[in-house]
Order: sequence, then C-alpha cells, then structure tokens
Amino acid sequence: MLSASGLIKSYAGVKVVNAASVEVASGEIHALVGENGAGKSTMLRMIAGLVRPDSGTITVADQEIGGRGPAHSLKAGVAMVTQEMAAIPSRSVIENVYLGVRARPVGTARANFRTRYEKLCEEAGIWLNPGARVFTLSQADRQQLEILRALAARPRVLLLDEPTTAMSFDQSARFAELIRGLVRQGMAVLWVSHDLTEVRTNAQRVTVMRDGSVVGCGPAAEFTESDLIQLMVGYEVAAAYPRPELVPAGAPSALEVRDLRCYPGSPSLSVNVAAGEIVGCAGLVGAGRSSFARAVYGARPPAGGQIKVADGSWFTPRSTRQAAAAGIAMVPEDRRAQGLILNRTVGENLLLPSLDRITRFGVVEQRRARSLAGTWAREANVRPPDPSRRVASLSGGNQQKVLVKMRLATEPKLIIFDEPTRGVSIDAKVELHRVVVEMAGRGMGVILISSELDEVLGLSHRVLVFRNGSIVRDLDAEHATRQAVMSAAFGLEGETGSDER
Amino acid sequence: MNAEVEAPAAARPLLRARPRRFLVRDYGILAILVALFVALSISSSSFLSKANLVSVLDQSAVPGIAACGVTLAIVSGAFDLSLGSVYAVAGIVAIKLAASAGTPLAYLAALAAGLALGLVNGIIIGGIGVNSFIATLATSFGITGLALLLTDGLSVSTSAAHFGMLGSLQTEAGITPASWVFIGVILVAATLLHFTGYGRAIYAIGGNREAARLAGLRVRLDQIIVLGMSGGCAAIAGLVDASRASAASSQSGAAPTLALTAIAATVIGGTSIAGGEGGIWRAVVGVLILGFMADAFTLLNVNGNYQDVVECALILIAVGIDVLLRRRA
Repeated sequence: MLSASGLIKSYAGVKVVNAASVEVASGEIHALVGENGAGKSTMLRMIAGLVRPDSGTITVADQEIGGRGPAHSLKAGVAMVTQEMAAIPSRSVIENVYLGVRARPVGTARANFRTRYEKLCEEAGIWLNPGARVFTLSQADRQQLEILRALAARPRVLLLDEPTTAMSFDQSARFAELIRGLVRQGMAVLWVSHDLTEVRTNAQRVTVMRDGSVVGCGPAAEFTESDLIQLMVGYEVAAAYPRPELVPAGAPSALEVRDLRCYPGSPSLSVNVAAGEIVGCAGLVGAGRSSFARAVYGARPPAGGQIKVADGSWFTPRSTRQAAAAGIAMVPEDRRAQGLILNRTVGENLLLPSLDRITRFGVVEQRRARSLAGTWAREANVRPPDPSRRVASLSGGNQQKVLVKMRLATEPKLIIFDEPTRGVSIDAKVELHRVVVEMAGRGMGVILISSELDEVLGLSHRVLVFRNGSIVRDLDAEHATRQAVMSAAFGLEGETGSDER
Repeated sequence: MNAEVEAPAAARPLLRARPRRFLVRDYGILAILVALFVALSISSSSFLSKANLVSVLDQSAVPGIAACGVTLAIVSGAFDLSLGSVYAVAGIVAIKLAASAGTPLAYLAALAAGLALGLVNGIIIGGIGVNSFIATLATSFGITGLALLLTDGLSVSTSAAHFGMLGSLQTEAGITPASWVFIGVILVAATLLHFTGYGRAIYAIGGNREAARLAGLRVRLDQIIVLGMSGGCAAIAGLVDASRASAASSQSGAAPTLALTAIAATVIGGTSIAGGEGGIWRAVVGVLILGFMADAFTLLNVNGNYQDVVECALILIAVGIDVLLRRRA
C-alpha cells in the first residue's frame, strides 16, 4: 500500500534521513523504532507531506505522492496522528475534527457534520462529546481527538508518531485494540513507538532506524527486545535496572505525610519515605500520583494535611519556595513547559534553585557561578558539557540531565521524580536510572512516578498503587509484581489472590 | 567511509554558522548604532560638536530612564503601559510638595509615589495574575485620573529653591544633570539585572514562569518588585521633566507617549517582548538610535513629519529580525 524508498533529507548539511526505505502492506501494522534523533519522525513527516524530501520516492497504491504538501498527501489517503496535540483548544471537538473541511451552505452543514461525526465515532469505537471545548478534555481524550481527526479523512495509510506516550497502560491497550480493528478493515499503519513491548505485541513487521538509516527490518516476532535495543543503539546496553542498595533497618525518615488532601474532599493520604528509600508510585493516568507530588511540593497547595521533612517540623506546604527550603525538590513531568528555562543557558538553569549559594548580599559572584556551573554540567554528563549553551539547543535526554542535576544540586533530603525518563533516548535513560539509585544510596529519600511500570518495579524498594486519588496498595519489592500492581490499579483486588474477602 | 568523509563535512557548517548567527543576533543592533553615528558625522558638520552630542544625550535621558525601567518589566514577562501616567503623578507630587516640604523631600515623595503605584501594578499582575497589558492599560487611566484630581485638571508650578536643579541646561561643565541621572539609572538597573541573583530570577520568570516557580523561586514577589521598580523609573523620568519646567500637569511633557516610546526603544535595542531575554544596554542603544534619528531630522533639515515613519520601520525591522532569528534557531 505505502512504499517509501531512498528518502534523503538534510538540515544544515546534516543528513537526518539517509536513503531510508520502508514498505507497509494493506492490513499491516508496521512499527518504526529507533533512538531519539534517528530520523523516525522526519520519515513520517515526509510521507505525510509536511516536509519535502531532498530525494526519494513515496507511493501510495503505486501512485507517486512525494513532496507536494500535506493537502495532497491527505487526498492520496495518508493521514497522520502527531505527537504534538495540534487541535485548537477554544473550539469544540466536532469543529476540530472537521477543521479544513469546507462547510456546506448554512443550515444543512451542522446536521450533516453531526451525522458524519456519529458514524465516524461508531466506526472508530471512540466517543467524545462533539460539543465539548477541546481545552476541557483530558490529555487522553485529546489524543483520541487527534485520532478522530486523522480518521475523518478516511485514510488508507495511517501514520502514528508516538501516540501512546501520554497514555497509561489501560489507555494504550485500548488504543492498540482500536488500531488492530482498523487494520483488519484493510488500513496500512506505520507506527513510531518507544515502547518495545507495545511494538512486539502489536506490529507484524518492524523497521529499525539508526542515524538516519534503516539498520534492520523483519517480522516483529523474530526480534527480542534486546535485539531491537542493540540495533537501535548500535552496541549492547545493560538492559537491566541498577539494583538499589537495601534501606538499612531503622533508617531515619526523609518524608512523613499525614492526612494530606490534594483537593477539598479528596481522600487523605499518609505516606512515609525513609532516607535512602525509593518509593515508586504506580497507577493509571489521573489516579492522583502527580497531584500527590504537586501537593507535597506546594506546587498546588493541598487542601489539608501536613508534612515533615527529615527531622524538621510539621507544616502544610503553601508554596514551592517553602517546600524547597524544607529540603524537597521535584523534577516535574514536562521538562519543557515546567522544568527548564529553554531560552537561557545550561549554567543559568543549573544555578537557578541554588542562587543563594552563588550570591553574596544578593550580588552574583561570577567566578564561583562559572566554576559551579562547569562542575555540575560535567557531573551530570551533559553533552556537550558547555554551560554557556542554550538549553533549547540540547537533545531531550541532555535537557533532562540538566533538569535533574539542577534539582539534585540543591542537595534535597527528598526528591520527587515525575516521569523522569519520558521521551529520552535509551542511553540517557540508563544514566538517569543510575542517578536515581545513586541518590538513594547517598541517603536521599526518593519518590518515583512513572507510567513505565517496568521502571517503577525495577528501581523501587516499595511501590504505592494509586487509584481514584487514594493509595490502594503498599507493596514491598518482593510483592510488587506487574500482576499485583495492575490488578490494584484497575481495582481488581480479587485476582491478586488477596484474602480480604 | 561514511564516518570519515561525511562527519567532518556535516560538522563544519554547524560550527561556523552558530557563532556568526549569534553575533548578528546579539550585537547587530550595536553595528546599526555605530553606522548611524558615522553616517551623521559625515553628512553634517555640526553633528560631532560637543553642544550637539550633549543635547542629544540630554534629550534621551527621560525616555532612556523609562526604557531602563520597562526593560526590567519586559524581561520578567510583563508590559508596563502606565509609565506615562506615573511620570505625570510624580512630577505633580514633587511640585505640590516643594513649597511646603522643600525640594529634597518633595523629590523623595515623588519617587515613593512612583514606587507605590508600580507596586500596585505588581500586585495586580504578579499577585492576582491579571494580564499585564490589560492591567497597566487600566491602571494608566486610573493614575491619569489621580493626576487630574491632584491638579483639578490644571497645570501646577513652583518656584521653590533648587527645584530646577535636574533641569539645568548648562553644558560648559560637560553633560547635563539629567544625563547624570540617566547614567545613574543605567548603572543601577544594569547591576541589578546582570549581576545579582534577583536579576537571574527575573530572566527565569520571564523565560518560563512555571519552571521558575517549580524551581522554588518567589515568582509573585519578584514580579511585584519588578513592576515597583518600573514605576520608580517612571517617577524619576517625571521628576527630571518637572524640574526642567518647574511645572507639571496630567498631560504635560512626555506623559502621553512615554510608555510607548520606552517600549519602542527597548524593542529596537533587541530585548524580546516574549520575556526572558534582553539587557539594559539594549534599552540604551535603542534610545540613542531614536535620539540620533531625531537629531538627524533637525540637522539635515528633513521634514520632521517623516520621523514617525522611520520609527515605525525601525520597530518592525527590529521585531522582524528577532522573529526570523528565533525561527531559525
């Protein structure tokens, strides 16, 4: 159905995609994997007509479509679901779905679209209130909206660029089910994903890219996850998680939380984190993990309850400054929107929470600032280790290293990681895992929130399972299995064999 | 073969392009100022005379002082459209108090009034979270109203001793007192923005307010203070002009246009209106470019009505370049 061959695209003299080819048959899910910067997204964007290839041919059903703009590709039957949510927030769902479709004469238009919308939803197995304004939708619903928008064009080829990044595991499972249904009806799907488990469960074939070239292609069943990783990275990576040291018995507590209520009327949460302990938080998206983290850090001051850091005194966090002063740091989930000052330098960002350490009577001691920034950039293994570069010019993984280091440099007693490895390359991920374990080893308390269950299970001493704003399970490493966590997260306590009934 | 032949070829343009682009972006405006200076020196014999240069600097002092203040606000991500009204109130307060309290106290009271009005702006913007454009547009009406109430809509004047000391135009001794005040404001504002922890916080808040908050900074308080300082600068500008005229009213002098002139100078200098980027020196360069431009119209006998057209072109070019470079970066 879709055939792209010999695609080349250079930016500023660098070949981002170098003679890469991919073929997707009708009725096939074809996965495209590779590290960040391997050229996957550029491939998709060329096929969708958003980027004009320097050379190469793209055909859909033996008809050449290359390089004539998105409208032409769409007409030829190619639709794309992008990573960025491109909907217009202040307009309604239905208006966004049919954005770009010219309206019929007044009167018939509304009813006409409404019928088409209902039919579309039925086929896709998705239902969103057509009148709802987009900004009122949850992240997951917005993702579904993107899919509806793509399907509204009745495509023969569907391009997916990491559609499940923002989804929890139940949502991604439902999403995969939807895609499999479409494929059964004869659609060709090219799916870019970072989640290798997802790739192996859903795709018939997989193409691996590295540095702009295709380095492997074949039936998905013939690759193991470590095969794929090895192809992607080009060398063997220790896929295993670093084992955290055991928490010494009788370790002092790093954080005590008593009856914390994130919102008025929400369930009260009580948690203890010992010094040197990594406490993982698992749960579905919207189960209250991030709200808990934000309440503890004072980013969204809680409705009630108190916390105590190490041997400090009890207080109700009212601001981030208060929590930071007490010894808490938080690495927020969205590094670009919440974490970094992108247009400032690496050095300025690293020093931001530590301004007290580089100023005397409010004046910055330039030499000390420079040397600290240099040291921290090197310690965090930021590449290039140049503190005068703008953060925006770094890769995602290196930006994340800057963000993590800037929080660790304040030497907090408790650090909260919210999705610390989302959207970073595999080697940056391995490095960040090492940092998490190392910090715990030095006696810091760690709260780890991640949608990647393996990450939570692999790194934590203890796993808290959130469901509907409450902590429904507190599992130690031994009992924290995939099965136990998922059952608790879905509220299926019976299946864990728990003897409560 | 690929690794050896292609890698250096790919790496070189990146390495070369980066510094050049940053040079244009960061210091291009300085080259324009120098070019303007050279062009004027060649085309007019009287341009380089001491009297002329001293006068240009003197004329630039009031918009320059306001531009320094508004640069702080813009770097922190907030507009301040109330500069002109604060300027008027400060002048009126000083003049009304000069006879009874004496010149020094009257000056201090004017400065305090400017700071206080700025802090009110700050509380509305930083504390409550109202969009700064709307908030200061609204308060500028209110503050102008205050100026009208204080004066019953008339012009007030004073003959208090030494009240005119900032307005002296004596040039034999070098630059005018107003210019000294301007230089003082530049030094204080530049030190604050570029050499203190507070300055770094201002850049961070303007660059990404939420990230700054989550890094544990006091974003509300810092932004309230920044608007207080912007008001303080407007008050100093108002004092200088009140002292020059020994009179003030709600619409006197630069009051109607000060905010827009100051923002224009800031933008021409290359401070990004998106916040988080810029510098005090840029405001100074912007004000000087506008000052030389106005001087050129006088010296070269060009119809002064074209001046606004040239200013328009300057602003659009400056902002256009900023947008283009940002898109490529």
